[in-house]
Amino acid sequence: MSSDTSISYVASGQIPPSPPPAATTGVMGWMRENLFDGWMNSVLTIVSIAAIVLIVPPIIDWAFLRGVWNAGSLSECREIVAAAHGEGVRGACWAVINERFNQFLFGFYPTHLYWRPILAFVLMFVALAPVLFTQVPRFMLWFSLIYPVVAFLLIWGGMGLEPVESAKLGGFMLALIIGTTGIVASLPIGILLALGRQSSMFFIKTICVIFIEFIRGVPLITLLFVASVLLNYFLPPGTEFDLILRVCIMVTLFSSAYMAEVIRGGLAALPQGQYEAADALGLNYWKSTRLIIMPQALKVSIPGIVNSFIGLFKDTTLVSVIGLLDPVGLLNPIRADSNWNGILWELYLFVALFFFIFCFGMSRYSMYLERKLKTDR
Amino acid sequence: MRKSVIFGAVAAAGMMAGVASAGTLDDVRAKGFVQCGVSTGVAGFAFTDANGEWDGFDVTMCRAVAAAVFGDPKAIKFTPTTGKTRFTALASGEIDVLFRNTTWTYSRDVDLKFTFLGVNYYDGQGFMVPSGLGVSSATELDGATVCIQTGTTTELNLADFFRANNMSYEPVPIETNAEAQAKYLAGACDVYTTDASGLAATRSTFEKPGDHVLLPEIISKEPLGPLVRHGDDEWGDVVRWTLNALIIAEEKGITAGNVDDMAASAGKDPEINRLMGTEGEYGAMLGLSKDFAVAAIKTGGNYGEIFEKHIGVNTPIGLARGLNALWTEGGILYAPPWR
Amino acid sequence: MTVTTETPQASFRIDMLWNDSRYRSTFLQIIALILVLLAGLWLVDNAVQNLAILGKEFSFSFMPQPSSYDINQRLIEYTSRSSHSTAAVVGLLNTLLVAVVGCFLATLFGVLAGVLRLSNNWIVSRLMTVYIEGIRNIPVLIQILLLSAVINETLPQPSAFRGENATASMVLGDSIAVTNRGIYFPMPIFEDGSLYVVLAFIASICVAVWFGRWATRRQQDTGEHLPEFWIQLGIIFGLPLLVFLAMGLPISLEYPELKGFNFRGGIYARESYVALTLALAIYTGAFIAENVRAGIMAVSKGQTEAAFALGLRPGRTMSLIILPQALRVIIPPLISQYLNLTKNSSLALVIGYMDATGTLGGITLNQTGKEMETLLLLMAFYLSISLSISFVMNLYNEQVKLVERTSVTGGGFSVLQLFDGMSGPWELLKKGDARMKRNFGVAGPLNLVALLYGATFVLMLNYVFIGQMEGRESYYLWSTPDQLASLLLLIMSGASLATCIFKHYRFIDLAVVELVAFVLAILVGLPFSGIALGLSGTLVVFGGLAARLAVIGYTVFGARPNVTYFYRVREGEAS
Repeated sequence: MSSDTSISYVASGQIPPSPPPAATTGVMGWMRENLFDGWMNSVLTIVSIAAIVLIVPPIIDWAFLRGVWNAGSLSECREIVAAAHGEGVRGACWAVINERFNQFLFGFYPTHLYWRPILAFVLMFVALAPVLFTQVPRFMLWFSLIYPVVAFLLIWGGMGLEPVESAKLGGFMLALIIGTTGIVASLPIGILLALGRQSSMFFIKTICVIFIEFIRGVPLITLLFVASVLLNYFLPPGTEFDLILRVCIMVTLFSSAYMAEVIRGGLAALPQGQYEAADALGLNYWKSTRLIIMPQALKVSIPGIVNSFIGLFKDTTLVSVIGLLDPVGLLNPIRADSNWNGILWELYLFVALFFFIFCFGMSRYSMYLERKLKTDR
Repeated sequence: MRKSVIFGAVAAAGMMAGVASAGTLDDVRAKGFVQCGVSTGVAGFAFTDANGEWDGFDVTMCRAVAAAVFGDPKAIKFTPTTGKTRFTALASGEIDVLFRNTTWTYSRDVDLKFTFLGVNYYDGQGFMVPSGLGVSSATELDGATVCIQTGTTTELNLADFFRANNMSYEPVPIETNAEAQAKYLAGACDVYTTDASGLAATRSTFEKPGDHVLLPEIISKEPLGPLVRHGDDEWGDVVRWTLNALIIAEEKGITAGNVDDMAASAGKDPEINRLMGTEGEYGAMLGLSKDFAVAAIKTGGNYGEIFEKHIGVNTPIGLARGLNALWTEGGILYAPPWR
Repeated sequence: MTVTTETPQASFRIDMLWNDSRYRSTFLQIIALILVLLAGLWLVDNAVQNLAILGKEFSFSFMPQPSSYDINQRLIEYTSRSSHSTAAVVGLLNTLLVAVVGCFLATLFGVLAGVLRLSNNWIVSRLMTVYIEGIRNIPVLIQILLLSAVINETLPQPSAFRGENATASMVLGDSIAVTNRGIYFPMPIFEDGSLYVVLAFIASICVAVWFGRWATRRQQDTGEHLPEFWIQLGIIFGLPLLVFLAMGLPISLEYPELKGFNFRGGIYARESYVALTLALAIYTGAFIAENVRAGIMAVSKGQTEAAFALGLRPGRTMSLIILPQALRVIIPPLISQYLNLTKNSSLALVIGYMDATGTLGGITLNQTGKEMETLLLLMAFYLSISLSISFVMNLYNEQVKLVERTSVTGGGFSVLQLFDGMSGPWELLKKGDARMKRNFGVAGPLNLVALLYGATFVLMLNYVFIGQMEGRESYYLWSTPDQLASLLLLIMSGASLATCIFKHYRFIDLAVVELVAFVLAILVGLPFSGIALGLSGTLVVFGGLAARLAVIGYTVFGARPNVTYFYRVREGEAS
């Protein structure tokens, strides 16, 4: 029997849990885990921070803190910057954007007629709504059908509206016109090509394959050269097609080949059972394609189609090489103006920023579409 | 869901111009305006102001042609063309006449099938270097980097010049004048070469024009003039004699200021009378109105006035008349007689 | 007693053409054929009429004429007296230079950015996102112009390197000059004896590869692990270095020096070339980064977890487990990005780089006015590059397709079926089943077949394109049979080479057509001794015929079932 074994310690309750070590929570913990775990990551972090510190502040200085937003010419800009910040300091001359903003948007379109392209732009969304959203009443589809004619009349004139010639179109309006015409017109052609490519009829399949491979193998700029110098040869002698129309035709052909590939991917994602079930129901080829195959394939390829549009919109800058005044082509007349002779960075950065905003927005939208389509399968 | 192709075809049909059966003069008359090809932007010769209105030496002469045909210098539309696209634009019928500092050469006349209608500027190819380079003659340019516009006679002349002088050079091809300027000023090339008038125009736009010097050698003949397509004789005559009218007007002292007075009634000089239309039926021979030359001269004045206003010594371009003075004043501008 | 009667055949009625599915498809195809022919005739007729009106004629006779313009970057001999076809070849080589270097750099940037984007370092992955998203959403034309402007404006001009108060200096010990006209590198000069160094270098690569295989086998047998990488590195650098020292330093460097207006000597990478290649590499790299990321994320997480459970560290997991599986998903879009880069290189003319579009489709088109001919040639060039790369990619895809269990014959008609009577019927197996057979694998000497077709391809390429310069009649002036025969032989030997390297079962069909092309070339009378760089004509002709017949014969009748070439196996062994 033991006596005198005194219990040294009896816990009266549970010890409350201690907080984790200071270095593993909060900001410090996050930094250790994400920025500095391992020597490789630490080195990368330090290098990245150094790069950011070296590059970003001078750019912000130049662009915003020393930017001039109101001036009449480049020399005036330089004087203002020199007066405010001292000799030899460079500041961005955004005044050129301020002055030529409308030119960037509309090219040389008559100023008093700006409401027409703006109306056409707004109506484009109205025309797209019944296509993209099923809640919109179906009779709106009739408006979508006549929208091309409406837009054409609004922009080029005719039928009571004052006519505007093609040479005056330019800027982002031109890029949008070529881009949307290309995509919209190439959709039906692309669908036919995709169906033809997987057809069992040997000749149709060969033609489609030859066309698709030819268009995809050739750079867009050679097709634009064809549009500007060669296409006239293949039309009956004496006919004169407007340059923008010719460019739209070639861009449509170009885009339809890529669209065919996107839709082919969508068709391939369809299980074989769908075709077999359609056959079992007794539907002929066109009925089954129209009612069963195409709706599903198109739904799957919508993100691909939106990506094609983004790519096509970026490719419209190439028309500046054949002399059309898209935003990149507009840079030449602006720089040739004696007021703005020598200006360079501000123009490039503005055009790049504009395209970035548009394309980035479209790509975010396409990702949203993809997520939405995945979940309601 | 799919847009109908039919509507697109309707739109396309609506954009097609009429079938051209007769010559360009009839087409121009039917259209109601002249489609004039100019450059994308050369200071003094063809440029747009902030409102998008075209102005310049070549532009004014083209407006004079429009005035000759329609009596209205505004019955005209301009198509900017690059060195690359200018000939195809003219050959395909996109433009009616090309007024774009284009050199009259054998191959362009014969091989490319164009007709030149005279010379509105006698030029030559020159070189511009920064004075800091310490070069005083084109023969000292061995090994230099030269900015050169592609698709022009300039690059062919350059190749010939350097080969003839046993020198080598490094060409930097550029598309437009603005690009050339940017590269030249940044020092990406040592020398800029183009027509001497173009060099003067470019230099005038620099921040410090005095820091750049035009070398004395003129290595080629560059007679610059307007051109139309082969087989368009009627239309060619209209352009040719409009140009001649402007030159003769300067010979005879007719200016934009006094042309109305001169045209009001027949005067002492029979050639002025024929030019003004108060005597003879010269307008009708071309199918134009009697006083087509008056309208042309009223557009921008006579040749000398147009020259002085846009590229003369009092402008930033600062070109002296030189070869482009009248033959009676030491130059070689010599129009055939109006009779 | 039952009597079977045949079902009555309906007699042919006209509306059976579109109602009866037996006739409908043929009928529709004939209609389509007629429509296409009519459309083609209409287009050609219009073209002929328009050309006649303008007084132009369709001919390639301008190609041998002197071009009269200079090209700054030329990888072969070229002056302004050279012909337009030489100028075109100079342009093509420039395009290929941009394409090859651009693809290499783009892969580098892309893989780096893709892998870094997936790292768990917050700043780095965000930076990479900014790079990828920013670059992908700005048109490539603007990026090329911007980069060219950056190089022109920010780098110093050559005169800044001169004099007492030079504001700029060369780097790396006065050997590399970075100016706004380009970058000047030292150029290696190969003197006598340098050939041995080059041969030693090639030999050392072979030794290193062989050593790698041997070391892997040894590791699998004994479990001992050699530091493979460092030994291979040592071999590749050590062996040539020894030979280099032994031969008395036969390779020296020529340094660029500032003389007169520019630096002279050394390799000159022009500003336009640098701007174009870098801009294309950065642009395409962003797309490749997304492909790499998609590929790595496509490998299921279970693989990583299993690798960790086995005790593999993250680095080895990535290189041994994830990347090989990811490659299968990455490579096809990677190849199409390479194609995009090659096609985007046609934008060179906006910054004055003389590639194919700049020479052939640019200056030559302008100066001669022959739009149709030059554009056709230009499109044919890009088309042939695209089709070749797509062809090779399809071959590669077939080779790395996931090994499947099902066995099926496939492929449709093949020349082999003609020989079924002699050798007994053959069967095509999918790679998975073929792997199970005895003698799986290609006999070593069979790889020499690649040499035969490779040599033919290279020699024909040289003869048709590169060799058609000064002193020889231009390709465009040859007689039509000559042109067609040489083009056919060129294409077929290239296709045979590709299928041979990738061990595709279509090799035999292509080899037979190539034999036909070779015979045609003999009949037409191509100068074989000239093509083969001076070897005797009869030797080339008879030797070539014999070699080809031997290859085809062995392929058809060969004793060793060469299954990986065509996954073919004699019937009876298939079960």
